[in-house]
Amino acid sequence: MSWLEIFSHPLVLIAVGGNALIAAVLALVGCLVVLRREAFVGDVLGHSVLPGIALAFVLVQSEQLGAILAGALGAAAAAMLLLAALRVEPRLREDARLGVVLSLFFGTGIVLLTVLQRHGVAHSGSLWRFLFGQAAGITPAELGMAAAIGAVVVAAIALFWKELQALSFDAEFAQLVGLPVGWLELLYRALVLMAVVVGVYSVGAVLVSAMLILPAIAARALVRRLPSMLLVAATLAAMSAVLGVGLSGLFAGVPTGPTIVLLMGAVTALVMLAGARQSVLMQALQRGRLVWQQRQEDVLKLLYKRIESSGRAEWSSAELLRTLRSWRWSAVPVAFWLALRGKLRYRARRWELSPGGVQQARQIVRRHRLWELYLERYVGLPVERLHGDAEMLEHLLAPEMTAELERLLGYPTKDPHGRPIPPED
Amino acid sequence: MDVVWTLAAAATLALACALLGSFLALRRTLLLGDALSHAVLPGVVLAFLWSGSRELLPMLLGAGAAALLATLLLELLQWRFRVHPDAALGAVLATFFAAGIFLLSRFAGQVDLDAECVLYGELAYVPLELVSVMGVEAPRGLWTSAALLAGVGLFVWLAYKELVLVSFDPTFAASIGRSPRKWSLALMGLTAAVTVVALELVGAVLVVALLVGPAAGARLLTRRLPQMLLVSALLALGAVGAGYGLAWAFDGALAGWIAVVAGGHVGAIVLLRRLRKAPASAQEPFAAEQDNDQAQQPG
Repeated sequence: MSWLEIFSHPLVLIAVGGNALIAAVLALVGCLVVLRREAFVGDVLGHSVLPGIALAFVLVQSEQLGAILAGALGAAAAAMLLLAALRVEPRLREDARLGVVLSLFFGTGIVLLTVLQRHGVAHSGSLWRFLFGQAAGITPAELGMAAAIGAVVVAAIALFWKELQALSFDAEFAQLVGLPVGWLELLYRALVLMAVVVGVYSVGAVLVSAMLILPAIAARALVRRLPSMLLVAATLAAMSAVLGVGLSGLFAGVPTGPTIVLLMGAVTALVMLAGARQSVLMQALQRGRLVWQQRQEDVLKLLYKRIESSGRAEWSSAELLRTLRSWRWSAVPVAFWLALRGKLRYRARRWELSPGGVQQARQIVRRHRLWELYLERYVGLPVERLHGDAEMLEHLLAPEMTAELERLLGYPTKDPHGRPIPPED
Repeated sequence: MDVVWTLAAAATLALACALLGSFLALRRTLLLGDALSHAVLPGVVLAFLWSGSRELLPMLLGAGAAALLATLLLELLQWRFRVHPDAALGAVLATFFAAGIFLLSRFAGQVDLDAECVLYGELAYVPLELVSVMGVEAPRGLWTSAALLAGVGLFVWLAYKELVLVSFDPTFAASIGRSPRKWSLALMGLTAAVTVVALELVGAVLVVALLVGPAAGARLLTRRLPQMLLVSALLALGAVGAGYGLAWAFDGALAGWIAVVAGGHVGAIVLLRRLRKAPASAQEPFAAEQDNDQAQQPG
């Protein structure tokens, strides 16, 4: 089958739409969860729906959507309550609390499911779908349910936007400004519950927490503000879902749920490596740009000092190359770049600094020598140790600092080595 | 005899988990056990595919590689990208487990391991595969979990002082030249090893339950570490016994029942302590603090 064939099949369309919708809803709620640093709560709640689903199945003896949904919601709510109740015990830390609730509820779920299976209750095998999900098998009724819950979640977030934002970033602040934190907390918990339960229909109890937090982590690394974070997370999640359903349709034996989660993981990894503000690539680029800039200044300074020492302001290509190489090889491409920028120009078969280049070089030298003088006079460093420090500061001193330094030193004209300090332009 | 073998394997594993879990609890990294137990799955499946058998060594290697990768990613996410530890743990856990499930369903025909088994294991099958070591014939599962218990016990015995130091006051430990990082890595490595053995025997769920439950319960009941280790061991054995009784009485997966007991008894302890505390503090409001001290005592 080709992509086109897959996406024109009605059942696949339902699966694509349903999963994209569910993924987006989970990602929206997940942003709040990640900001509140409760990422693991999603994992525990996801596992906890299992006994509820099994009990509902025992009671109504069928896979009726409403009953299963109610059972899942009830069990997840009970897990949430237990989690809160265990908080009375200060010696039980957060990690132990989560682990205990997880063991109790998931253990119960496994027990109920195996009992159902051994007693041969009709269709109980299909209950396993709630463990690992059956994202490709979403029915129209489930799509409708996902849409309804999605609408409720989006409406709630839109209506209580400011309040939820305050709660997510700083609950104490929210309390301080008089927001009804108790009710908001309840709303937030209800949103998480609904999202987790609807997620179980897509990727199953075990993987639902991934859909909750992965897009949120990726979005958080990409953008700063909450509105953009929600938007980015929902978009990434929906895209992963569509691609995941497509891939599992295209290749035999590719399970939908895990594929969706893996794609989300890959997107998150990619963002961390390349796109994010603190990503490896971005930071390396930034550092590279800084070094490149300093190299340019160094080469300008080198040539300027040559003019100072020899009085000659122009060089043949061979002379220039020798000068640059005597400093370091990497100066050659830097000089090439300076020529492109017009700081260095080629005129009548000779190289020279352009007026702009001379001006910039003078400022660098000026900063260097002012700083050397300052170090000698106020820090008392010996003359032979002045240069190294000034080599760094010459790239960093701001114009205001330089002016202040000059004032402090009494508008000097010579540096400690007796060389002239160029005036400001 | 089968019952004895099954129980012996479960109890041995439970003891190893309880011992390790106590130190994880002190370091507040119990969830790490959860994360690692999920994260080793892709490594185990790949090792299965590569070796084509249930040999322990390739499985341990695969799991170790996966655990190492997961740990590296965790560190990277936390320190390099400033992701909150909770979120980092959740993200790594979920992605790795998804990868494992993916591999399991992709190569379903070639892997003698299914997704359900990964979750709640095959304790009942333990007696089926007998292996003779030094003339003593016992199930393979029992041998491996016994080896594991010996390893964990030896580690705790040899490194007890360092572990205590590093767990209670990592800053001080670092200041006198001990490396908290090294020891936490060793703990993580052991946790990964426990997970691999447990994955086959009791499944991922029960590893978490056995790591968390007895340790958390013992932490509530005791104040000193030696007592805590002892009580957690007793609680672990109790959970296995009670779980077996419940499974026998009500049917259902043994691993599931043990998990229920391992998690449930902590809730029960919390509840009992509340009940005992409530009337006392109602009578004597000023004695609340003293009462608090009393309540910390076991029994």
